[in-house]
Order: sequence, then C-alpha cells, then structure tokens
Amino acid sequence: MIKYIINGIFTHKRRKIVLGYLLLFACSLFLVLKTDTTAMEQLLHKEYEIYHYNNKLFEFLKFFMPLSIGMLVMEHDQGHIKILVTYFGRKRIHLAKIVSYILVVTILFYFTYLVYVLYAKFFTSFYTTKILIHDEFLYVYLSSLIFLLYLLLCIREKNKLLIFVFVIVNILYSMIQERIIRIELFYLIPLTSSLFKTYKYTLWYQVGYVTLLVLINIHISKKEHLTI
Amino acid sequence: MSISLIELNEAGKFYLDKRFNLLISTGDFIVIKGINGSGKTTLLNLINGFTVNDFGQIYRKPIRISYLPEREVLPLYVNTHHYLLEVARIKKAHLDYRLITDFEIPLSKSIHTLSKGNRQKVMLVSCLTGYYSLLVLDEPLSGLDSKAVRVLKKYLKKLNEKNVAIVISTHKPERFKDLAQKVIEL
Repeated sequence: MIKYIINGIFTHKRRKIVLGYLLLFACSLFLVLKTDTTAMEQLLHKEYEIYHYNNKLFEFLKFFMPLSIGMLVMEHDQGHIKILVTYFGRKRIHLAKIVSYILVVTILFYFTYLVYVLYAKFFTSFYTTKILIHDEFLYVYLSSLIFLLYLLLCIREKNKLLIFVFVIVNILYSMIQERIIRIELFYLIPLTSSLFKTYKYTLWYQVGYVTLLVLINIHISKKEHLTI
Repeated sequence: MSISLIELNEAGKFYLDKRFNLLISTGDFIVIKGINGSGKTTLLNLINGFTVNDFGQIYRKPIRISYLPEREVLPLYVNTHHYLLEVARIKKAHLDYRLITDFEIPLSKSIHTLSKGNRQKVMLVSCLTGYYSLLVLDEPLSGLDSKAVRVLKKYLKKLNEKNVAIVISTHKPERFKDLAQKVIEL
C-alpha cells in the first residue's frame, strides 16, 4: 500500500518535476552556503565560518521545507486512493498515507543532509565531522513532520490551494517565534526556534506532539465524510 | 443460502428528506434508479460507509466492498498496465487479462492519453479486480460502447453467480433489466 501511495505521489511526470526541484534546491543551497573568503581566512576564523555555515543552512531550511512539503502534500487527497477505503478500511489507508508521506519527508531531509555534508567536505576548508549539527537537523525534521501532519489533517481536494496559506503562515510563524519569545506559542505549535531548541525537553515535546497529531489524524479519518 | 451483508433501516441524512430501507444479501443484484437529486449518491455513500447516517440504523458485516465512483479518479501520467498491475498487487489478486482483452484497453498507453470510454474501462477493471463480497457501481455504463456494455454485463452475471452482491446506480436501468433482481426507484 505504501509503495502504491508513493507511486501516486511520484508519477512519471511529477518525478521529473521533483527531480528538477531537487536540482534547483541543491543549486540554491550551494549559492546560500557559498562563501567568498579564502581557504586561509576560513581556517583563521574557523569558529565564525562554521557558525555562519550552519546558520545559513537552517535559515534556508525554514523557508524551503514548508514550501517543499506543501508541494508534496498538495495532491494527497486523491480519489484513486480514497476509493480503496471501502476495500481496505479507513484506518489502513490513512495510516499507510501518513507513513508514506513521513518516508518522503525523511528522504527529502536525507538529501538535504547530503548536500550539507558534501558541500562542507568539498568546498570549504573548515570541514571536520565535528562541525555537523545533528540535533538541530532533528528539530527541523520534527517541525517539518508537525507541519506535514497539520496539512494531512486540514487539506482536502476541494481546498487544496489553502496549502499556500499554510506555507506562508508557517514561515511567518517561524519568524514571529524568533522575535516574540513566548513559551505559550511553542506549546501551541512546537516549531523549532533558536530559543526553544536549547530547552532540555524540546525534542521529547516535539516527538509527543507528532504522535498526538498522528493519532488525531487517524481518529478524524474514522468519522470523516468522504466525497469523491 | 444468502447472508445479509448490509441492512439500512430508516437510514438518512439531515440534508435529504428521505429515509432508506434496504437489505443487501450475498448474490443480490440491485439496480437503483432515480432522477437527479433523488439521493442515489447519498444511498451509495451510506452503503460504502463514506458518510455516517444522521437518522436510523445501518448494520454491516465487516466485508470488502469494491466501488466504482461516477467521477473519474485515475492517476494521470501513469502507464495503464503499471497502474492495473499495482492495483492487483495491493489487492493481492490477479489481473483478468481476458477482461482487458475483451474491453480492448490499450495497456501500453499512459492513462492521460486514453479516451473517456477507455478510462472508464480502466476504472472498471481496477474495480473488478480483487476479492470482495459487494460490488457498488455508480453509473458504470458512462462512456462505454455497446460491445463494452455486453462484456461488462457478461462479467457481472458471472460474478453474481459466484454469490457476489452487486449494487448499481444508473440512469439507464433498462440496460440491466435481464440481470436485476430488485429495482429501487428513489
């Protein structure tokens, strides 16, 4: 079932679009991460360069991830998947859909991580394995899953253009969180911000939030009125 | 001996001024007809479990239902053969190549290049693939030529003889008069 849904996401035509999009992403990331400083200067101001390298990447991801996830999820409420509900049951179809999209987002993150590591390794002089920030990637990954699950919960075929509103709200929300530091905002929707990622239980709160959203998704799908 | 699969008892929705009483048992062949807005789609939605009834009761056995919607719901830009194979794979069933040949479906083409009639045939094949106790078809004849109608009727007759219950909603009930055991007018 998961393979069927993933094939539905990446049809022959969409595969080309996604490939083009990933190339564009890689190029944009290269441009963002590109630095004009010489190798000697990079070694001289190593700490500063590393800080900026990581900072630039995560700022870029804040804009790129909601947009990419929005584009991927836009067609999630497809009729050819919905009609299978009568054959396999709602729970199985919805669970398979959630797992499929989580897998796709995970692959997208893996690709991003690959670009992040490879660029540092081949185009900078300060690369050592110590510069890589794994926990921050995890926070951004969990934030992306939260966004994904909200989209799966709220976006349907008839209102799929609403996805762009969600993307804009997500980007604005991330920007607001950086300026208005209020813990209530984080409790409400725990998207990563530079302050909250320093908290001890942020990761666990995000994991719990993702689990809760999965359960809400499944629960709502049980009673939802399906239109084809 | 027929076993009751789904029973609607005064079931209805708040937006429809109508209550449905219907018993679907194994081996039934039921044709539903009615003018636009008479509640055909609502009845099918209730049978399929797509919507919850606001009034009355619905008793259903945990059965597999195969459903053909009126609207075209095929994934575009996919090779027809690959799509049908995928459907058969997830349903753990085999494709009926005889039916595909009789329908004259161009398997090598991409779905988006097919004509309306051929797309309907692809939807029918994907719906008829699998192991199910109840088959629900909403306007199955839409876009089909007379040869395809004959092929479909022959196939449905065979299925019905295997005790599969069939419910068809159509504006052309006379096309099924030789097969229908019950005709419900809404």
